[in-house]
Amino acid sequence: MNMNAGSFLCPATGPTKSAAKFAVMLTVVCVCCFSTGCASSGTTKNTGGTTNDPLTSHDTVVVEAMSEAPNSDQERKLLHALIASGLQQGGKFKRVAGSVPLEESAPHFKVTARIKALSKVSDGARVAVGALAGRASIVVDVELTDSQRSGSVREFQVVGKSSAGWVGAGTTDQAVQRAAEQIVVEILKRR
Amino acid sequence: MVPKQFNIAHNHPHSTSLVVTGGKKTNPHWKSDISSEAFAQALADSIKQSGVFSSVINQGDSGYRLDVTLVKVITPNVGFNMTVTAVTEWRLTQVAGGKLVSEEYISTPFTATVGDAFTAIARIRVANEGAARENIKEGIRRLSELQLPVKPAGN
Repeated sequence: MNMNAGSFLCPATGPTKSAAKFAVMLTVVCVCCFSTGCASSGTTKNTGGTTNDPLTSHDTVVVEAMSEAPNSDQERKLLHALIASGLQQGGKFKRVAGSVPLEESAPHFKVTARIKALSKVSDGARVAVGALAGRASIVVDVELTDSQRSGSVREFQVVGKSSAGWVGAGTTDQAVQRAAEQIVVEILKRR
Repeated sequence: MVPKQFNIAHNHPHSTSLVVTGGKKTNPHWKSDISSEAFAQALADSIKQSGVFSSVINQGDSGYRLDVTLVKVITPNVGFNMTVTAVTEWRLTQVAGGKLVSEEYISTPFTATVGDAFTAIARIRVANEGAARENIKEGIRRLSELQLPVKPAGN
């Protein structure tokens, strides 16, 4: 029988070994989560655009949100409302319209936010399994166009992620909030 | 949910009707929420107290129609400081002609601490009410800044 000292001093059956391994792994994951940070986050990546001009030519901006992800209508509506409210509260545009400008012929910028991918974590899942529910995330492609120019003024992609690591961590809504904040910041800093 | 103070730029001499949608009734086995009925009642009381419109009409003709959609009430699950964010969409339409006069998107966070309520359930309720109250206050402020014609048709 080939047995080393450790296993002789602390003999373990198969299932006990697995449980111990799982406990160690869980501890490592938890420590990593707490030490490396599982805060919510948002990132932005440029993906295209034709000009670096500041967005000063029009006072109206129209916000539109679409989704290519299945079962994401609630998230699409929330993203739309958060972008529009962020731009309104930013106070740099005279009018922020949710659909079309009140005067359709009025020159305007248009922000089209398209949800490309969505990984949900519901309230129920977060409460039921805590950290094991993982992180909610959303990937949004954003195109900024000018009603008086052809082509897009700017294209970028934002990723919003919820916090993770414990039962009080964020859910899908928080990921959408982080993405909307990134979009608003990117637009307002060009204004 | 009715604010104690309002920031009013103009008192409009018009009546308005009010429709609130999107709210959810509180599930007693889950977290506190905000129902459309409760928000509508608080908003109607707030409009009357602030005087931003001359009256809120439930039946009959009004000069304007205010539609408020509770897009989402974002609530945490646990925590000492609980921040709830109420996200709403306000659309004011002139009844005669159906012209959309204003479209506002309002996001208002409110944080309730252990000092506000000891139990988490009560703290979320306090935060919900606070977020709704701030939302109504901001919505009324924005409505009061509109330049509405003195006599809209149908008022």
